[in-house]
Amino acid sequence: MKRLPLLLLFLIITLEATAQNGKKISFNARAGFSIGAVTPVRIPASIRKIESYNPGFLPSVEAGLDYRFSEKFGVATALRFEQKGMTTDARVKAYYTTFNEAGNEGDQSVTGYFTGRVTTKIKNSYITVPLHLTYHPDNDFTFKAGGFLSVLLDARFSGDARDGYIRHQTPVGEREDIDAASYDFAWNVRRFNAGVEIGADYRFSRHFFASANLNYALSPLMDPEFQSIAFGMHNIYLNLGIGYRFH
Amino acid sequence: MLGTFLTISGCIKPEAENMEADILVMTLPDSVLISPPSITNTSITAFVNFSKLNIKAVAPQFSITEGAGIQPASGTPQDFSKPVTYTVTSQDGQWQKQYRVSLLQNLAPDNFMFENWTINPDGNYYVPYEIVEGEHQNIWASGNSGFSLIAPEKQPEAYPTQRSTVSEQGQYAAYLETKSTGTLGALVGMPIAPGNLFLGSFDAPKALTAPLEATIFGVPFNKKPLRLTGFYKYISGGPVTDKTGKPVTPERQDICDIYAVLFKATPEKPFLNGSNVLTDPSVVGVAQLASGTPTPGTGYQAFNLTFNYKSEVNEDDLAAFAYKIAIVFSSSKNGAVFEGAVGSKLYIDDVKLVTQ
Repeated sequence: MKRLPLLLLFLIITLEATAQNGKKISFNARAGFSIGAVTPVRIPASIRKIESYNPGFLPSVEAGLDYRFSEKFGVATALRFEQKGMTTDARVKAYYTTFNEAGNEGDQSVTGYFTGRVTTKIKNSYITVPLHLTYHPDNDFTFKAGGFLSVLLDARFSGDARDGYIRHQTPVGEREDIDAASYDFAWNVRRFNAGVEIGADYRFSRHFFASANLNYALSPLMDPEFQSIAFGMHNIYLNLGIGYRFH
Repeated sequence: MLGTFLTISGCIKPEAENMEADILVMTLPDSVLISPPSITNTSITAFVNFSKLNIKAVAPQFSITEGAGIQPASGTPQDFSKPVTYTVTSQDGQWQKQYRVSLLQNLAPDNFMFENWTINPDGNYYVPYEIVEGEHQNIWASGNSGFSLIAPEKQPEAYPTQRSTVSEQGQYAAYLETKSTGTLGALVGMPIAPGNLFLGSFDAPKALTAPLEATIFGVPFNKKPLRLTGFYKYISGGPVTDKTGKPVTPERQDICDIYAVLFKATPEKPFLNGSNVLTDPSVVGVAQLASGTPTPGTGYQAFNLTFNYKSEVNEDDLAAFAYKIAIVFSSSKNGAVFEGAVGSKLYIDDVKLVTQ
């Protein structure tokens, strides 16, 4: 990871040199942070209350390329390193889940319906390539809409359940009180994540601009065969950042 | 930023209808009950005084999971000369559970041949039962239901407590083997599961959080026991490991335990459990194997253990079923605190309580 800023700098310098030739192409570098959630499309009824939510610090850096094919329109892409995650504590009722040991693929696990408190800690790192159609109504604003494709670099998805009980396999299965039980689903986080993204840049000086992107992953976070949480989860994140445009 | 959080919180759905279908409490008139009913996930057993009721028309009351329904209805008279099956349907109507409800006569058996075994529907493991005057008495319990949750194996032969055809008499004997509970068991500080078998019931929900209290000891008894006799065979699994899975120091070999306890039950303390069965002030007499070291040779060896009485047994109270008997077998003597050796094997057969 330490090499990434160096790599970006190199990329930017090289690109800037070539960019001098045509006004239509511009380059930028951007740093920011994300805030959001890994969430089902609709919160299932088994989640009764979110006791706490902590977005954590989720930095992002990217090197971008814009190509203006007409006066007002263009396309943009980038190479972005980003993290998406959160820590939540929820009160659940009959929440279908699995307790297992980290790195274990499920042969030693307890699956069933848990009622109690569940803490979830997620922090996934991605290399993302967005592709946007851009609209430039004036010199200050740029609006962007498009999609993104992310490749997973590192996955963290773990947590624990406590102060409750699990019904083994089904809601009428053997009841077992749980003081504390942990789970780790990092293994089941999908290698790829893709979705839609919209954003806007506001140029506040000759070189600098502020930007905001909202992205929503259409592909679920977890592998299709992952059954240990009964609902599909999707990344939804707002990224705020400051960029530098090379002219 | 706050918006995202509010969006999530704002989407909390109305609470769904209950999916559980439990019988929480069974109520019978106090004069009829000899001891509080034992309720497991799929069965209820209660000792009742047959002289004070018409067994062909008993109307127990049930309190069940909120919103659930029960058939036959709570409070309707049923013929309990055989166990009655009640079906509980969850509030959402999607889940059902059947309970086998047995009202047992106040005739605790005094010899135990371990010939009759049934498969427990919750966990696919064997449980022995007794037949007293044609009545099936599910008075034996084990820690198997705790094991069923934590260990991946699901065959009856994989459980710590099962039956064996290597018997002293008849077709079967009880067979107890200390098993490993795998990585998940180690994670919760319960790396082994001793084979155990006892008169009483197992409070499965407490298996992980309060294992000593999960083993509930005692069935009503109306005779004064003098000796506990029977046959056993023991093979030690070797050096004892502790609840972290490491060998204890100084090193010692695993031994088995066989004992019987007569205690005077009270309404406040109707049963004893793993934490107090040998030490509680209500204990009046104990018969215990002096040394649980391996038996020589390959055959069974007889045991004949005398009850040592700490206090007098009141004859009137005895006749009124105020006393309870617990018989306990374990393939690892300290297995209740998860000390033992995987592979320790205890065979038990032809057990008798010799009474006055």
